[in-house]
Amino acid sequence: MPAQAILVAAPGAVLREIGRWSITLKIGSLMLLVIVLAGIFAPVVAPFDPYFQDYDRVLLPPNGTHLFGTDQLGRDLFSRVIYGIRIDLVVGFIITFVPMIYGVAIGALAGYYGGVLDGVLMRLLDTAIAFPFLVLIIVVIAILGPGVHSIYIAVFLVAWTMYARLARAEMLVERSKDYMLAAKTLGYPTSRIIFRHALPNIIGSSVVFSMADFVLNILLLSGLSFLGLGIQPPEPEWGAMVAEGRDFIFENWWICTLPGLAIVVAGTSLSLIGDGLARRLGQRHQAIL
Amino acid sequence: MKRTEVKKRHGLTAAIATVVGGAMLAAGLFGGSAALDSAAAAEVKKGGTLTFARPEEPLSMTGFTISDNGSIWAIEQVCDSLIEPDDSGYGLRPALAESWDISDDGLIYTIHLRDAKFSNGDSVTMADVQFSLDKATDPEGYLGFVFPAMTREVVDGKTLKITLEQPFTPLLSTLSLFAANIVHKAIFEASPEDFGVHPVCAGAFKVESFERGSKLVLVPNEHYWDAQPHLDKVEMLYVPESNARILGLKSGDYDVINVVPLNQAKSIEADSGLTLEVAPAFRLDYVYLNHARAPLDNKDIRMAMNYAANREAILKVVFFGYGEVPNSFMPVINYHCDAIEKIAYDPEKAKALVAGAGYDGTVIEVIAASGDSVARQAAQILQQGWQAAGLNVEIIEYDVGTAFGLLEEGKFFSMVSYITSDTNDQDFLASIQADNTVFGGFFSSYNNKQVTDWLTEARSASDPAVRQDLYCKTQQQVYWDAYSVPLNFKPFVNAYRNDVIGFHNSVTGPWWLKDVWLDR
Amino acid sequence: MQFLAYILSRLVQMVPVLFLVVLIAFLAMELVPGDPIMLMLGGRANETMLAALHAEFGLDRPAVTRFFSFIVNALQGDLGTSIIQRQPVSVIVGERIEKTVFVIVYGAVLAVLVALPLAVIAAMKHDRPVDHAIRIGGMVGMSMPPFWLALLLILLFGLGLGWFPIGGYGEGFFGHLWHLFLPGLTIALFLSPILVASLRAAMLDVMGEDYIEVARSKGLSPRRIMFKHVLRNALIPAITVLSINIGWLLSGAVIVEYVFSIPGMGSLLVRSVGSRDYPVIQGLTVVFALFVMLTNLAADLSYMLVDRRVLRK
Repeated sequence: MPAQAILVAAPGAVLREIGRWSITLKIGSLMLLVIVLAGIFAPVVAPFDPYFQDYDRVLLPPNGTHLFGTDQLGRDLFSRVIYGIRIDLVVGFIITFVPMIYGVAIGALAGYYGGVLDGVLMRLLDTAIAFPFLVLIIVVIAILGPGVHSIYIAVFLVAWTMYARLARAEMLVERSKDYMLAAKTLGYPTSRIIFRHALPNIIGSSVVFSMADFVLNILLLSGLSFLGLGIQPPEPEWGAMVAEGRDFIFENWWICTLPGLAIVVAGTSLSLIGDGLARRLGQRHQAIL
Repeated sequence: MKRTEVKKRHGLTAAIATVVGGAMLAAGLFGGSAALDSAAAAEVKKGGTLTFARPEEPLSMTGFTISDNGSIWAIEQVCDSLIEPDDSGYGLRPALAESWDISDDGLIYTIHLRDAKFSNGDSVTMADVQFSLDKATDPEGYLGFVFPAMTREVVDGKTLKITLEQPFTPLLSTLSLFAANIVHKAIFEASPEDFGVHPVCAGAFKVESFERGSKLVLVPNEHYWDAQPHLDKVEMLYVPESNARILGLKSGDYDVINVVPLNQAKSIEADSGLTLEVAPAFRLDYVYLNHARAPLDNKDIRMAMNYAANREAILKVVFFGYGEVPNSFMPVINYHCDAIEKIAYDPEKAKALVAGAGYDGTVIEVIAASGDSVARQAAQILQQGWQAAGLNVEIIEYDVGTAFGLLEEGKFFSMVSYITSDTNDQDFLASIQADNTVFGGFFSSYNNKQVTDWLTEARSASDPAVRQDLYCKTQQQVYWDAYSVPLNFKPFVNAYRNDVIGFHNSVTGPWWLKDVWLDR
Repeated sequence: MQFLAYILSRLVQMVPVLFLVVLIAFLAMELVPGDPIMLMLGGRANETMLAALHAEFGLDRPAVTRFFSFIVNALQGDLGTSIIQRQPVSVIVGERIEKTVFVIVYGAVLAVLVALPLAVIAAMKHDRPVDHAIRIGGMVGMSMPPFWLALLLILLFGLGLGWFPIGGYGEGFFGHLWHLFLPGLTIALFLSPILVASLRAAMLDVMGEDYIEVARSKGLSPRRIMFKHVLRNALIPAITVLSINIGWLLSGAVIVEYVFSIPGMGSLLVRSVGSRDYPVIQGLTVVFALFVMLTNLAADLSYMLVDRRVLRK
């Protein structure tokens, strides 16, 4: 089973597995690896303190000392972009994969049991989709205070819906298959049937979607910071940096262009991985739904 | 007849520093009457449409209930009060009142109404005046608290007698407030909602159409009591995005734009077809402090925050040099005192004060309204300085509603914001900010009996010298009590095409569009 | 008949969802700090006056009463009156719907215009360099934050080339098209990679179907097969993708409206939340929810149409 092969690859099998990867998967993984390493070793990679403001060196264009130039407060943009990895990638990861876990579980349960449970869960899902997210996030921030915890809660409330939809649709197909019926007649407990037998077969589409979702979530996070509803200053979040450069775009293009580019590069690496995963997991053609 | 003293402004070094790039040096250079004189000197051309892009949106044209500058400054074009600010905004001049007399004891004001008409042709009657003032001065009304206790009596169809219980020198200024505009009683009463879209007033312009969220179109009020506006039409556009305003101005789509992003002001100066106007404002950008909340209840901490505030850097980096490091807790208004010494930038002193204050490490939160890039940048500079002084500081961004909600409930430490004055009398803001009995110290909980006494006395004093002295004492006391962390006396920065003549920002905020004409 | 019954049951399902949405919005507004009257008065009000205005807008009544009176009024088409603007909410929101819808539809149409040829080329040249280029280009495109893209478009087309206005709504249909080109393009550039990916996938699926093989063996030209059979059958899933993204689009519209100064629902929502204009927030929430649910319904219906066609085959 390819999904498991990737998830629980033994050290020796890793190379063989990588050998089977498509070129997009290889390139994407390499890009992501570089980004992650740069984030982990940010103190080594970044030439300057990302928080230090030097009012004599404001708005410098990219040059030998400051690769990405400096921002309006005289901070080194390259260092800020590098430190930004720690925020955008980590928060993006959490708001993608935590909802995936319970989203798939909810979808699997709704699909397996059907009936009233399905009806109730699906109406909850509809509600989460139909509620304007902007109102939700502002309200959560107003009640709990701004910061990453509010983003987590607001996103957790809605981000599970797509996974639930996907898992439910797959479960509806899966539940009438022979091996499921066999497991049932053998008297296995329902939880075992759902999570041990069905799950590996219904999670594929969610895994593939999760990469696209990861990209969208990084965009979401930076969009929130752009609106002043996300990560708080002076943290070097990419979207916040784009927002800070907004008023300077005509005269100092680098402040918003380069952090935006960081988002594009990170997003592209994840998309490449998603595309490769789709192929590797036997989904012949990737369709982002 | 006694007139309110009109003092020349002082304080800001640059008066109205207008920079003209092109050949149009003649007019529009100086605010106040200078603009009018030079405009009169040149041949005034009538007609044309002025396209005017603003970052604030007019929400309603009813002055009794709104408080946003988007609405107020639009209403000022359409509605007149009995008395109005003069061209510069520092003084007053008659409007719907032709003249007035003040009794020697300062208790009785006799107002003589002018023959004026509303924009629908109906005469402005004493009934309209009474109705409007009843609404404005209603203690339950929005700005009711700025009016002193008074009785109003109609002497005849043209004369109104106002009797005060106590002398109240700022009364004429107060009557010039937008909230004291005279509205058409019958039409307002018929439908206050409809009035918010189609107001009937007696100002120079009237509303031709009002498309909420995008455009307000004004045309001259042919029944206006004074000289007709030069323009045929004003299109006031709501353009919140500053880049869009700049581009629109450069491309010729807009004739005038308000609130030029300061980092782009230089490029406008460099453009030979455009004029940059830097006009003084009754505005102070400052950090609200909540004295009721530890550790800000400790004056040493508040002083440390002032000493550790790198205002020169903020002026340079955030405001691009536009403005002046303040020496007051309130904006520069008529009784501003230049002599008060500024709190210097002194990181060492700040450190020592924090060390000696028994600070327990409580995180001091600084609120910046989301989307307010100026507040956001200033907060980050302040944070760096304050942390160096030994304070724990966190910046938090809230939407405006939440931010002011927290202010209202006293659940805040500090907030980067600003204050502006709608009238030219020192009393208005001094009392709101520093007299605890008037407004609780404007969210600060500042309470100083001595200051309250001084301000009470200044309110009823009629001798300008006495008032000057009292306001100087107040300024010295409150500013050096570390009432707040003042950041900048920020001016208005506008830009317009060189063929726009006679545009200038008055200190309270609006512009006299009736004096503007187009040289094309 | 079955079809109608399905639509009916879906519409019935919307009722509890709408109720929940309204209830949550209402509770949320109860919980957050900030009072519309206080904010309206700019923090300069006194107690008596607050009480008077609260009474005028019925804010002094218990929350339960207010909630149910909102529901009862809403059922009669009355969404209340804006506290700040003192105009009926239905009027204020109504003015904005057109603008937001125009931008979104414009963006979607542009997206289809961009995506369709690219997807066709990619599918026809499957696994060849052109296909890879289009796919990878799509991945890059999808990773671009709309607000960043919007700024770059402003920089390029607004300042650099000066071809298009960078703000406002314009007048008349062609004025709208002209003024909203950059916002529309922003949405299109965000949307088209998603659209290309799904169209391409759907076309490749269809191309693998038996009847295409049959057509091919009959000697029909690839071009004819592409346009006559493949594209037609691949379009509906693509439309479905568009409608599924409607929630995203509506949220994204906030940013696009913000950057391009368009007086749509998004900017009204931001402003209304900022001033705690409860009736407007409620009204917008209802409209938003209806919008999302109805487009999702339309998407599901188009799914069913495909299914039927598949069944008939």
